[in-house]
Amino acid sequence: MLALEQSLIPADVARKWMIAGLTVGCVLVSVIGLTVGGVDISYERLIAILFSSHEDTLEQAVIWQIRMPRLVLAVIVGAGLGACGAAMQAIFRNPLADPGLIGISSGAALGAISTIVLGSSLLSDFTAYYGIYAVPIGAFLGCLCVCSIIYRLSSQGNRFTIVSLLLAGIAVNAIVGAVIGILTLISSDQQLRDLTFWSMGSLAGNSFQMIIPSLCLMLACCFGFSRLAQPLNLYLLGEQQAKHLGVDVVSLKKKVFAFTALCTGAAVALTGIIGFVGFIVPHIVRLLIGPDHRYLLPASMLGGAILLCLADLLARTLILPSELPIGLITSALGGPFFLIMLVKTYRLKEL
Amino acid sequence: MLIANKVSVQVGKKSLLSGIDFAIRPGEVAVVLGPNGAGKSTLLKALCGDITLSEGTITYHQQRLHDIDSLSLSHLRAVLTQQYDCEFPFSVQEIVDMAHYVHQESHTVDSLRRYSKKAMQILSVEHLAQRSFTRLSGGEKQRVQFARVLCQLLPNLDAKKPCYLMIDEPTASLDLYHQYQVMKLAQSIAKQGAGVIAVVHDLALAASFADTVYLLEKGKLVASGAPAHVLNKAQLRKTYGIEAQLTQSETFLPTLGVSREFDLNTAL
Repeated sequence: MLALEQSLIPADVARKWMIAGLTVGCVLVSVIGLTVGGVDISYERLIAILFSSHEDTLEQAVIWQIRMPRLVLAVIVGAGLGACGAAMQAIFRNPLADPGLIGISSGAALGAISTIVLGSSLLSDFTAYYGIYAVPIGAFLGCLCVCSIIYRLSSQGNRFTIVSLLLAGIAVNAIVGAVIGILTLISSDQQLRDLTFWSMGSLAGNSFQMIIPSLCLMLACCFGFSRLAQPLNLYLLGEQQAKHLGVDVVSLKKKVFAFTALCTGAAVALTGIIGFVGFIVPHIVRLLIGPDHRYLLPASMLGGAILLCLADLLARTLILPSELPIGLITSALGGPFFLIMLVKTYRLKEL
Repeated sequence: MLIANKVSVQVGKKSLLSGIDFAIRPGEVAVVLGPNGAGKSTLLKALCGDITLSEGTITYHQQRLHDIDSLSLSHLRAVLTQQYDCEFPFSVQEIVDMAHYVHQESHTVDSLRRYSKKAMQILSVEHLAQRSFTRLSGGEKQRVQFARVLCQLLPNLDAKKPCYLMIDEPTASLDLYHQYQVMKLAQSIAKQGAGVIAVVHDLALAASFADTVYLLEKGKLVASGAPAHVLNKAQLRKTYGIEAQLTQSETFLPTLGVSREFDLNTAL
């Protein structure tokens, strides 16, 4: 088990500094993200553009219409994925859990891939009506459908047990995987390319209009999560123990399920699948400041935001003028970093 | 008063408890005894509200258990269970402080911190405060959890509000000194005004600290009353199938003496 032993900085003060530090880091990364890219913009120009509205230049358009929506999306999606990951790991009481377990990724993939592959035939009305919004809406609906099937299967009677959730999740994920396989098989070359890139994730091509509904939903879920911090701490003691301390455990599990489905669903709908953020960020944060969710949740949100901003910065600058899929970067960045942290902790343990 | 009236619990077709009557008042120590599978833990779970009854009622001060919401119930009773598996590296201090959740609306952070400190002093786990819970030994874990449970009760005990402490085999992983320390502590918590209900395997321990013992056999209550009265030779033979008796003296707490002629019923 990857249960991580002693945290490196235990004191309360250190945790507060950590959160302050992450906030500063997030702002710094954002500023760098706004200035660097195909068109380099100096810091003086950036400030001038941000704080005066009468400019009408190429640079202004680049900032307000391309980089800013993309940056906001990266920050909020990163924060949402980080918070969902932390909450999932708590609710499964296993540091290896991630939102994929409850069918979010596979559901969204099914919705998106159906829209891509069947968009010109079976679902042509749907794609014609929603236009460029068809794939995000399809992904979000797919995610909600699969999640609610898993929810119904695992909440027989008045109970909502984690084992049944896990089993239903595995079974439904397998079925959905098969359907996706069939859709992939019948897709044309162009569709195959589209769906492959969708499943590697990208933050590109989103305007403010397009992302605002999702952003509101994700922010609401993050707010909801932050109110569950203390019950989640007690839940880690054990379900019975949390109940003895006055936590309504069934309602807690249902809330976490719903927030995770909505938040990750909204994120994945716009960006495609960005793996590893929800898994790795809470893990690293827990190594640094311990498992207390009052600190872990906000720190995971900030950490997720930073990781995704950095990853996006690399995704759009490494191979100019084209772009790398962001899912590749998060895995490539996160994986080794995580391994280093892990090896270091085990060394500490042996001392 | 915590009263159970004709309580039955059934899972599928199997009856775990049938028609149990049970009553405890604040200040009393009640010990539930019985062989393996007699339904001791089930009774405790029924009393603390973990499982639903198939028949009968349980009332806390005339209020039906069914109608009490989880937070109010956590003011009325605290529970110490056997198994704790926490994969997450909380420090001992954090574990004990989790009890603050129950009282955070009526108490200030400072007063709750004092309760944590007091509870940790009483259980002598203060020196472990900054250690990671996952690295403790079984006995240390049990004492830390007891400190948390005590921290949940202390504000009520101070305010003289009646409350109940339920413990399921509190001594299972403890050495002799800590076994008696825990039971002694349970007794002094009762003296402060809590009703204590403990499931215990050790008959000598039960006889040493219980005001009342409840003897269960196959889901039924077969005897209840003062320990010296219930745990007699005939009853032990009938329920446990052993030839034994409790002996005590002026200076020593009761011990269980098992007869040399005890028939093991095994052909070696």
